[in-house]
Amino acid sequence: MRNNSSDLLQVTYPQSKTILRWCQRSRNREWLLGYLFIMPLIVYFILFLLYPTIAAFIYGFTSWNMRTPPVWVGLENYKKLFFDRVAYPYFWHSFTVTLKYVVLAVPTTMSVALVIALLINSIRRMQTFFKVCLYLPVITSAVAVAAIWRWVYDPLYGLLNMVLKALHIQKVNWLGEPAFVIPSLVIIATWSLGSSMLIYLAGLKGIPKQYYEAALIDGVNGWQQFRYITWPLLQPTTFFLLITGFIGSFQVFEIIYVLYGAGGGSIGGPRQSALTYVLYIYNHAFRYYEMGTACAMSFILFIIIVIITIIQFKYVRQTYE
Amino acid sequence: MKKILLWSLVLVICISMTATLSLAGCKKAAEEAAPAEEVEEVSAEEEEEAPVPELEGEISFWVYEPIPEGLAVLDTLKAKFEQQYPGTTIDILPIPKGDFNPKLNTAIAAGDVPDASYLDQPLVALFVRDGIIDPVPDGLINEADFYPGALNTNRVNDELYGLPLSQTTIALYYNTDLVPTPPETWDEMIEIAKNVYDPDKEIAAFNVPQGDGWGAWLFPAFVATAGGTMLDESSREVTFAEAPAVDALSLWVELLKYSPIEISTAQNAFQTGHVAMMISGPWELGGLRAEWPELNWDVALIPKKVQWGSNIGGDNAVVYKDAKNKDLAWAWIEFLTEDENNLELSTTVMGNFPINLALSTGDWLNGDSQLQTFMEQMKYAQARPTVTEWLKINDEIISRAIGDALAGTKTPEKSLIDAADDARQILGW
Amino acid sequence: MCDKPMSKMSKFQVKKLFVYLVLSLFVIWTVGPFIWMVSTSLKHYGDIFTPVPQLIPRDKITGQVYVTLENYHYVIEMKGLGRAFLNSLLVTIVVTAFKLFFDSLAAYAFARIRFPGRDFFFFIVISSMMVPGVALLVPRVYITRLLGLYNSLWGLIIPMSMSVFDIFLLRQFFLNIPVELEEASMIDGASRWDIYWRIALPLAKPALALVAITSFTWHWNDLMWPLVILTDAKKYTLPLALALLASGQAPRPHYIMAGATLTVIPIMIIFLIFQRQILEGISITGLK
Repeated sequence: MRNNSSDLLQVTYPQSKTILRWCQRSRNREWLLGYLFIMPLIVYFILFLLYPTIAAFIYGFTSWNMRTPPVWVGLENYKKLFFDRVAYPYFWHSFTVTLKYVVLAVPTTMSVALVIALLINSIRRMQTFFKVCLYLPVITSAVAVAAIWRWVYDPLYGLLNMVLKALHIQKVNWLGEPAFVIPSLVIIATWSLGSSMLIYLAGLKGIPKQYYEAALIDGVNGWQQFRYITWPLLQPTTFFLLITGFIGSFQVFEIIYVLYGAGGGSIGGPRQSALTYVLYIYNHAFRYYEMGTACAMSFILFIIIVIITIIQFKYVRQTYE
Repeated sequence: MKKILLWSLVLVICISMTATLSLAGCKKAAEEAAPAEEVEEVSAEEEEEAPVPELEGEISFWVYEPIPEGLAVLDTLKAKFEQQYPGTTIDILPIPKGDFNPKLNTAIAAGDVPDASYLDQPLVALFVRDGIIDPVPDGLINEADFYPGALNTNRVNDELYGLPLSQTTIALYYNTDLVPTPPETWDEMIEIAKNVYDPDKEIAAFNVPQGDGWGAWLFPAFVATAGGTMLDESSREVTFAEAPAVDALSLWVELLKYSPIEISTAQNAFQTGHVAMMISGPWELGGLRAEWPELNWDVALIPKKVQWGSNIGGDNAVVYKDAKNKDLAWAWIEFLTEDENNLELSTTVMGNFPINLALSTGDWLNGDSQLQTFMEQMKYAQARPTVTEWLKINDEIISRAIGDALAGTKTPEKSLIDAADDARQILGW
Repeated sequence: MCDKPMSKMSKFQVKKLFVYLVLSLFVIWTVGPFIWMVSTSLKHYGDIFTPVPQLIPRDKITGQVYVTLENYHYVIEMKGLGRAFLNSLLVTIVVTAFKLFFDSLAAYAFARIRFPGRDFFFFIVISSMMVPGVALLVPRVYITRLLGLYNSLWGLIIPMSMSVFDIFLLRQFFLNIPVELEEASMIDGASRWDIYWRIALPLAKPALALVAITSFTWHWNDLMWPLVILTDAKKYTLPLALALLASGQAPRPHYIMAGATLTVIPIMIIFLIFQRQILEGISITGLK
C-alpha cells in the first residue's frame, strides 16, 4: 500500500526509513496526534498562563509600584506578610474571612443546586421555564446584582426587612452588621447558582434511564434510588463542582468589590468583615501600588488552593466503581 | 444539520475577522464635533502667554467619565480647541472613575502611556517621585490666576508638575424641617442631634462616617475644625494623635449615640428624610435638586470647634515624560484652565468648582446660595498629606482607629495613639 | 381492587404538586429581585426609594401608576452605546466559537488519546486556574502588547480564546463516552479526528452547550480585560460603556437597571437557544 513512497524514500534518504516506520507504528501515531490536538492549548498556555504566572512569581520577590522598574527584595514581602502586623494588619484576617465564606458557600450552593436540579429533572413540563428563571441571576452583571441586593438588604426600605417587619421580627442590618455580612454574601452566591444547577442537570441526563427502570421493577423507592443510583453516578459531576467550587470561592472577588470595594469608599465592609483575600490583594495592587506584595499574596493563595485540590483529588472519589 | 452549523461557524469567524480588521483599520472616525458657538475670544490672558508655536498633531487625553451631561460639554471644548488650532486632534478617552487608577497604572506598567490625563490630587506627588511626569513649562501660566490651595497640590519641591482642573470640598447638608437653624459649633451640633434623634420614626441625627476609606478621608476635615492636622511633613511628625484629632473622633462617637447605623447606612437616608445632617460635596446638589423636590434642605459650613475647616479634593492634569507631543498637551491643559473653559469643565463636566480665581465671583454663582456656601467653605479647605504611604495609612490605620472608637472597643484617645504608633512605623519617622 | 391504583395515583400527584411548589418558591426567590430590577428601570429616580417596596412604578406624590422609558432613552442615546453593543457581540461570538473548538480538541485529547505526559500536563493546566487573576494582569497586558494585539478587538479575543475551566468540564464529559463506541469505529478504519468530530462532539452536546452559555455570559459581562486592553473609546465593549454610566458619586440605580436589562436580553436569547441541548442526554442508542 505505501510501498511506492517508502521505496522511493528508502532509495533517496535511508534515515527516513526509520522515521517512517516509527510514524507508522500506531502507538506513536497516537502520540503525535495527541500533541497535535493539544498544540493550540500549549501555545496559549505558554503565552497567556505560564509566562504571566512565572512573571508574577518573580514579582513576588520585588517591590514594585508599577511605574518604576521593580526592585529585588527577596523574601521581604513574604516575611512582612506573615509577621508584620503593622504593615499588613489584615493579612490573616482576610484569610479567615475568605475561609468562612468558602466553608459556608460551597456546600450550600452545591446542595441547593443539586436539589433544584433533581426537582427540575423530575417534572415533565415547564422545565425550560424553570431553567431560564433559575439561570437569570448568572447572566446579570455584578454591578446590577450588587444594586439589586443592596436594595433587598437595605436596612430601612429593603425587601427582606419589609418581610421581617410584616412577620413582626426585628429588622436586620444585613450588609452593615459585621456578623451578618458573610451569611448575606453566601445567600447572594446561592442565588446565582444557575451554573451549578445546569451542570448537575447535564450530569443527571447522563445517567442511563435503564438503571431507574430496573430499579422500579425491583421495587426500590425514591430515596434508595437516589442513594444507590443517582448519587454514585453523579460522582464525576459532584467532584468537578467541588473542585471548581473551592477554587472559585477562594478567589471570590467581583461581587465583593462592587459591594464593598474601594470604589464606594469601603475597605471590605463594616469592620472589614467582607475583606476577602483577593480584595486585599487587589487593594495592594491598585490602591497602595504594592504590586510586588500583591504577587506574593497571590502565590500564597495559589499554594493553599493547590494543596486543597490535591487533597480532594486523593480523598474524594472521582468516578463510581 | 451539523454541516450547516459548522459552515455557519466558519462564516461567522470570517465575517468577524473582516469586520474587526476594518474596524481596527486606520480609519480616523469623524469627530462628532458640536458646532463651536463661541466666537474666538481674544481675552487678555491669552495675549499674555508667549506666542504659541505652530501646534499640530494628536494627543491622547485620559479622563474620568464625566457626569452625564458632561460628555457633550467636553466634546464642545475639544471642538473649540481644535478650531482654534486647526490640524490638531485631541483624543479623549473616558474611563469609569473607579477603574481609572488601575487602568492608568497597568498601562504604565505595560509600557503604554497616554500623552496627558487627569490625575487625582494626591497622586501627583507620587508620580513626580517616580519621575514619569514633566514639570509645567515656564511661562505657560500665570500662577496668580489660580487658587493657591488647588495649585499647590501640584507643587513638589517648589516646582509645579501639573495644573489643577477642578477643586471641591465638603460641607454640611441639613434637613431644614428637622433642623431649622444649622449648627455652627460642635456643641450646637450635639444639642441638635439629641433633639432630632427619634428611634420610633427612624430618624438619625447625623450620617456618622464609618471606619472605612471614606470615613478616614472625611476625618481630617473635622480635625481641621479643631485646629489640628494629620501629619506635619516638614518636621516629619505624626500629629493625628494629639488633642484636636482626639476631640474630633470623640465628637463622632458622641454623635453616633443619636445616629444608629441601621438608619444612616440605608440608601438615600438623607434624601428620604431619615437622617437630619450629612457631610458631602457639591456633587450631591444636582441629584437633590432634580430628584428630591419634596425634601427641604440647605447647606452650611462644617461646624467648628476652633475654626472653620474642610478637606480639599479635586483633579489635576499632568503631561507624561514619554508623551509624544508635549507642546500640544500643555497647550490643551492650559486651555482647560482658562476662564470660560474652566467654568464649563469644572462645573458641568466634573461637578466641582473652578480653580480660576477670576471665577470666584461671577454670574454663575448668582442666586445660588448653596454654591456660595461651598465657595466659602473652600477658603478654609486643607489639602491631604502627600507622603507616598498616605493611602495605605488612610485605609488600614486611620480607618481602623475610627472603627475601633465607633465600635467602642477602644477609647478615641487610645485608638488614635495606637494608630499613630503604627503610622510612624510605616513612615519610618 | 380499584382502590389501590387510585391512591397510588394521588400520592404521585401530591408529590408532583409539592415539587412544583418548591420550584415555584425558588423561582420567586430568583426572579423577584429581577422583576424589581426591571421595574426600577421604568421608574423616575425619585420614586425608587419608598417606604414600601413598589413593584409597580407609582408616582410618589400623585400616587399615579406609570411606566417611563426615559431611563432607556438616556442609556440608548448615550454616545457610542450601539457601537459598544456591536463590539461586544462580535468579540463574544468569536471567542465562544474559538473556545468551543480549541477547548474540545484539548479536552478530547486529555480524555481519550494516550500520549506521554498527558496527565501531568493536565494537572499543570488545571493548576493555572488557581492563581488569582489580579497578579497576572500586568504580564498578560504586556505580552498582549508584545504580540501587537494591544488596543484591538483581537486583543480581547485571542488572550481569552481558551479556558481551563471548560477544558476540565469537557474532559469529564468525554470520559463518560463509552470506549466501546470508539473502539468499534476504529476497527472500521476511522481516524482519531473522525471519532472526535463525528462521535465525541455530538455526544458531548450538553457539555458544549454549557460551555457556549457560560462563555457567552462571561465575555458579555467582562469588564476588567477590555478595560486594561482598550485605549480607544470606539472599541469599548458594552460593560465598559455602561460602567461610564454607573460609577460616580451618587448611585444611579435607574440607569444601572435600564442598562442591565438591556444587557441581559442577548444572553437570554443565547441561553434559550442552547439550553435545550442540555435537555437531550447522552443517548446510548448507538450501542444497538
